[in-house]
Amino acid sequence: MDISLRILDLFRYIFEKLGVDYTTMRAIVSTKLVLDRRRAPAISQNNSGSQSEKSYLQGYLLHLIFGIFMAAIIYIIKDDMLRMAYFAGAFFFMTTMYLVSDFSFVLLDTKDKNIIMTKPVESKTVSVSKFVHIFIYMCRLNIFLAGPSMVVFILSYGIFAAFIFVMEVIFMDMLIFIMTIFIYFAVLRFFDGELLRNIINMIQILLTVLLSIGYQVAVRMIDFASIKSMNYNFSFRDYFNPVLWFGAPFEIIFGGGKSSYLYVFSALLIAVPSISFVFYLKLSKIMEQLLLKLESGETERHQSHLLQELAGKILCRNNVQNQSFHFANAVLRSDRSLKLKIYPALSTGILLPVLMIFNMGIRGEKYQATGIEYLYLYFVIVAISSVLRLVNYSSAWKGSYVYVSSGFGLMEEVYRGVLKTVLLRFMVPVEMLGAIIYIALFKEIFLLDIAVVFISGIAALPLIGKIYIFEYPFFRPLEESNQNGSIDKMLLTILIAGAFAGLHAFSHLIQNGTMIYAAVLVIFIPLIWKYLVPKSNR
Amino acid sequence: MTEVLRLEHVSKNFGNKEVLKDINFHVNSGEIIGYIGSNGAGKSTTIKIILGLIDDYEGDVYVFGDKVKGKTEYKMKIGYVPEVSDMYDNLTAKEYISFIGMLYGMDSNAAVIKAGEMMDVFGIQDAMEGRIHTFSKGMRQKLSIVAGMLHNPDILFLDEPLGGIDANSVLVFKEIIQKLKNKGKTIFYSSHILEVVEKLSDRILLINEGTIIIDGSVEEVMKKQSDTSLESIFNDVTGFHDHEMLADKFVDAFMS
Repeated sequence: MDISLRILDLFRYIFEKLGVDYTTMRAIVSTKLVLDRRRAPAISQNNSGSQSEKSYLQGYLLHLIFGIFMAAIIYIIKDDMLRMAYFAGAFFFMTTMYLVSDFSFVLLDTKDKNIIMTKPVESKTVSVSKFVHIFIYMCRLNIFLAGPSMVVFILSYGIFAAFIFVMEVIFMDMLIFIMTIFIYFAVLRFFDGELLRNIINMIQILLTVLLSIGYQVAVRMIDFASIKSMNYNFSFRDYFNPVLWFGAPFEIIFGGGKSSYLYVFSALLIAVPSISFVFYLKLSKIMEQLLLKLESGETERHQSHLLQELAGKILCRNNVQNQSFHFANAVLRSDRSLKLKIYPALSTGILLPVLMIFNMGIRGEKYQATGIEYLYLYFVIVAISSVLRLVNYSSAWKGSYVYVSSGFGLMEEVYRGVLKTVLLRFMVPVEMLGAIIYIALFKEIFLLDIAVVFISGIAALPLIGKIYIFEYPFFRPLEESNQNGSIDKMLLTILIAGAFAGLHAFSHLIQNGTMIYAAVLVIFIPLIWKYLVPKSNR
Repeated sequence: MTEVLRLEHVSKNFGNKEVLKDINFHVNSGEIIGYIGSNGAGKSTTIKIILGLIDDYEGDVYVFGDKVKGKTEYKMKIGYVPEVSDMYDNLTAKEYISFIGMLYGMDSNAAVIKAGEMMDVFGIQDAMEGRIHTFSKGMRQKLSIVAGMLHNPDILFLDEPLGGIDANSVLVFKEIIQKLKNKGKTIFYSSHILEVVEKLSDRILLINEGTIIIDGSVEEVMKKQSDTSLESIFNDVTGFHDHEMLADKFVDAFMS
């Protein structure tokens, strides 16, 4: 039996006194906890049914790693006020991100209404079950995210600090939960459910990117020496910064702070979550009505895709290519689960060059370009290979029966359309972002090289496509994408990217060599795209 | 016969749209009611109001003589099989049935044993340990039927219950409906498939644009409307006579 349920049983009397049907509530919460265990977190790369329970545990391990990281920073900070404020800032950010990406489905659930409310169950019991379910989730998150920091606070101030810390974490949880709900309902009030789904998906992507690679940047950007000597100076605008409110009790109790603003901060940290909670209870009926907007089916918003239309006309040479181009664009725009896998993979394409430069020691103006930094941009080509691997998969893979039922034979044209989509949708934006960073860091030094990397990318795309694309696009269930990452294909990709990088580097040895190399590439691109596109194995 | 359900002056608006306009009818025990109407006529809204899923409506709903607004106990006496069932897909059928049983206050083991017997009739007893997300549309619907009838309700609300179900199981299901009627159960059957409604129902309620425009036995209605089938009555009263023209248009497009 789940330990949370054992703990819940201890409070049975209180629930019954509140008029809740405890047996029914327990059955609902127990079922929800089983469902939680079987559902992989949104940030997990592994969402196949059989693996989801493992992913569930891995999710907690990730929380713990971040919790230890937070504790380490808090340990370094010596200012009593800033120490808790830093913790509150990181805690707010991470808990909100996790709540949105992992638990939005609970906050915005409409299934319960149809499954449970058609049965003889009081709405109070259902509401309390929902609250208990979210509370258990947040407690688990708190233990891993805030637990290590609590140990630091106890070591610094003694056991009484644990009490203050736990109370503050509860108020933070309340504020995060209610603010998240308010934002959701504000979006639902003025817009449609589809926009809210898109926002949640964006936050899920952001969190996944952050957890995949963001910590590498964070570690390099934090200046631990300056953190150690930081001191807090009051400013009037801090009254509007909830993060700082949470530092005040520690400053008063353990730092001996007596300033009036500290008492105002302490009052605010109790009053704002409490008043918000009262508002939440009062508005919950209206919110239930707004949730009905989510019951309407998912419909793509009527947006004009003028750029895509124009690109299709310019880039695609025939109708099949054009249709494939638009189809791939539509899938990659609307398949949220697929996007959750593509963007983190793609983000390495831009992050790796930046990290390489950081590792070379660039910090401020002292860094002098060695002249080979452009080579790091070839990581974009390696990152694009992840996208090309993933275009074989979709969460709506069953729709690809149309390829089979239509007896369609011009697969090379379909592949060209898909490759052009990948080029326009992913490769060009990432290359452009890389170019902007390079121009910002190195001015005009690498302009020609950036152009050559871009041309090389266009030339390399069909070759890498040949490694990864072998069936109909979006033909396999997305869950299978976790199983098919093969080392030999990755090595082949690195070999191709390395060959282009090597030729590029070699061109620098010859006078005007880079220009000549660029010209040769431009001549070869049509030939590569004509003869070396992937071939169907069907 | 006992009156088991009564709607008095029930109206419901969604924004400016009047979905139900002063609906009045009553249902007696042992009746099979065919509740028909075109898409958006107000069928599902009526059922949702009776089930307590919508409570901001005008008028009153009575089940076994008790006003139901804001109450839940009466739901013990009603069962509901929706057209598309929301289920917790990551549960096994056994876990789902056990959960539904508990919501009805049943012992979970007894619920599973009873459901197993009912699933056996539909040939899906082996699916008990399977997770619902692996089920076909027909299997889901059969499980939904079992879950909706598990607690021996007196009134059954069936909203297009036969979607995706194989022909043999449809025959079995129709027999079940007749036998439940003979046991005094009341069936409120909402469907677009007029042939099934015509064969099963004792009484027809036809709703059009939020108003009940026909209420009577199938024979009475046919006699009154001088029509030979429910389909032609439906076409007459809803003013829909374009089916041939639309079919021509489709075939023209198909052939072009």
